[in-house]
Amino acid sequence: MAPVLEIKGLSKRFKDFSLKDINLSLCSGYIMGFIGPNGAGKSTTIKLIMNLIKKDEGEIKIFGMDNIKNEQEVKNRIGFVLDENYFYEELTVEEMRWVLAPAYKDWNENTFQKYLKEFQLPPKKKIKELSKGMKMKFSLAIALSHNADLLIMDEPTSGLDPLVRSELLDILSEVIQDENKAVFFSTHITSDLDKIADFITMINQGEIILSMPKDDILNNYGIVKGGRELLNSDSRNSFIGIKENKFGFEGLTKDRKQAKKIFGDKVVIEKPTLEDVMLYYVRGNHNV
Amino acid sequence: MYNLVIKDILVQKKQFVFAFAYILLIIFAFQGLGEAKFAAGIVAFTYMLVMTSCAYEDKNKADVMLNCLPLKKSTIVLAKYISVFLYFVLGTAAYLIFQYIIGSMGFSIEIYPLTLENFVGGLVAVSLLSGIYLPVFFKVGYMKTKILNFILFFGFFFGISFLIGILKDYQDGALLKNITEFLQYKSGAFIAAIILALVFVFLSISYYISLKLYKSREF
Repeated sequence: MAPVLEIKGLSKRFKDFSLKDINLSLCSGYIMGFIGPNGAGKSTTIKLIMNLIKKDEGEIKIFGMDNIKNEQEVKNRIGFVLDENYFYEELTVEEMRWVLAPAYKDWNENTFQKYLKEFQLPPKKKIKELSKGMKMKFSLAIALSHNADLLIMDEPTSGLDPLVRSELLDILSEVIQDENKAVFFSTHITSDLDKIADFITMINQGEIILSMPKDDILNNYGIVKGGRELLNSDSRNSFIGIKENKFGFEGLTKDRKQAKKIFGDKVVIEKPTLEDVMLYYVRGNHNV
Repeated sequence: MYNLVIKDILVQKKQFVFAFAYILLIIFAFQGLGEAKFAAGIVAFTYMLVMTSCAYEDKNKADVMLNCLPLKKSTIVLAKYISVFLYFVLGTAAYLIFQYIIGSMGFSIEIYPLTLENFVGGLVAVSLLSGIYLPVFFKVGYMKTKILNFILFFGFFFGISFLIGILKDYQDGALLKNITEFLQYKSGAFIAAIILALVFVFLSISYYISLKLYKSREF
């Protein structure tokens, strides 16, 4: 099956930051979590996918089509939720819908009305009077009302309370039941992805550090805890990152079976969370 | 495209009330302007609304949202130009309606009927201002055009009288003489058609520059 989203060798240079050789691939029926610390390049990548900024090199294919040559066709099938509100705050929910709906070929008014009710969005209320959670829900209602096959979400949960975040994740789980749809979800709140992501792509300082199935990460990676006397130059190199204090060390390994072989019963090996993985990758050996 | 034009009206409903009130004020309070009342009123009315709609684009960072929609950049740019002429039509209609109402209520003010000359004059002024302003707006957004905005608006009023002064000084010049002689025996409608054709060419160039600049922009 051709990927819904495929990025090859994507680069973009700014004065003080560069996105370097980004490669990733997402197929229908899956949710990919795009994680990394603030300023890692998540939003830049999404802006390049949406052709909001111009790439220096590389290729972005969406539904097998070039994202620039077939821009309108591709965007008709993308639902987007951005990190902040970009709607006209002076308009009401209903007026904003008047502006947005005619832009899409496959706008489904029944679906939109269903989400308005489900999310309890008051049609006559101005966008600026909506809470952050409500604005995100409105954005989601628009994204889900034109039969989009790819949802692109840039930090949709940032600044939301746990209840709304959980609601959003439930909706995404529901959306992905339709195996023709895919979700590309950027966040720095990795716990959002524990429940719903199938794949994780991690970015730091403009480079992809890893891109693989979430379960492979959680099943193979491990946090190794033990005494400092166990560390030598070889064993240090087998860790992605190590945190040391006077009592011992904690390190992230890609292969916990291998770690078990090396250290035996002298260490405790735990299953990491995605947050652990991100922290160790980002900070390396510097006080994770 | 019509949704973008409607949006430009919806975002500034309050500003419209103010702009219509301004037309009323021009009719009542600026008797000294004589026939130029229409041009003065319509230029300020249209320019005010164009500026406000551009300001709301910036305030809401709407270009990000608009460029995530399946819209061509040419549609986004063209919608702004069409909005300008919609404001012009609305302003003209308001001027005529207010004139009519005031006239039939028997207020003791001078009513100047809208002539073809004034209408074309107003249209030229609005087109020149918008045709210069919009490419810059599409390149850098509203906030960075504030100074240009100020210069254009006031420069326009003072510039016109300055230009008229120069033309008067050189009215015996060969080129001006030729033009005057050429136009002397033409009908008002013919002259208006030439002016409108020139305005159309000017706006088309302005639109293509706007589009080129907008396409090169990053959001």
